[in-house]
Amino acid sequence: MTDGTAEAAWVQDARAGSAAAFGRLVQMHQQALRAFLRRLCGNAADADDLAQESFVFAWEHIGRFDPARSFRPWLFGIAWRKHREGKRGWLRLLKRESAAVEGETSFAPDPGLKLDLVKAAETLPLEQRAAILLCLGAEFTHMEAAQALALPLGTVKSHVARGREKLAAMLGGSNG
Amino acid sequence: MDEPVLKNLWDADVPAADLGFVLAVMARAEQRSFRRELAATIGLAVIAAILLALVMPAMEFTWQESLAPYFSNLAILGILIGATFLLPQLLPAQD
Repeated sequence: MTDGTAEAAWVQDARAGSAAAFGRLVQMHQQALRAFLRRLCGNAADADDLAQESFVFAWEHIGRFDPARSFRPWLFGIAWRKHREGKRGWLRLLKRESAAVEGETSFAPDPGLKLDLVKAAETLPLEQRAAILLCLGAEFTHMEAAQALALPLGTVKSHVARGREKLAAMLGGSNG
Repeated sequence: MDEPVLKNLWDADVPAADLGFVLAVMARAEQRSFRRELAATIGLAVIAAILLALVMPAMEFTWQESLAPYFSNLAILGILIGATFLLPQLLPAQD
């Protein structure tokens, strides 16, 4: 059974109420979603919390998911919206500040070029960064990224092209 | 800097597969479901108690002669039966 057919079967079972099937979906997508959110948030603890929230939301609303479509963009779309809402939420800001006070370590990438990449990506506008992270970091197609971000396909293509140019320009010096 | 280089740099940041994360997600979902059911049950009980308090004087007047000694027992029984049968109808269907 390929990943795609297995996923379709798990989605169907999860829609019928199977927590075990949904657990398999979580297992299948957790790494990619957590990586995406870590790059977007820049903080591992916040990102994992957000990833859990996204999965729980997906479980509670999986009845609304159209099985004719791909599960991954739908899931990442939930995470993206939650991240955007969270950036505006005062409670998350408060939690982030209290975590900083408690000395929690933030996501620390390896030094060198990778650090430059993280810093460079942080300078991109949020939507552009998300498009770049999905298309280059999570191997989404432009169409999948457009679904996840709820943006027109042309906008996503433009975000990816411009973002890539900016990253290349910023990292050009680091890369020699 | 080309696309494969960017991909390789980001690929190095992918967290390891973590069964604990899966369990934490499912536990959080269960906790939320339990809290929602608890809130619905408490809400239902409060509504039932208010309704009971409103209709009790009339019921006492009507049943004073026959059922008065058993009224409190019957009321509790009624609430329990009502909650048992009504609660699944009131809760949103599990998708």
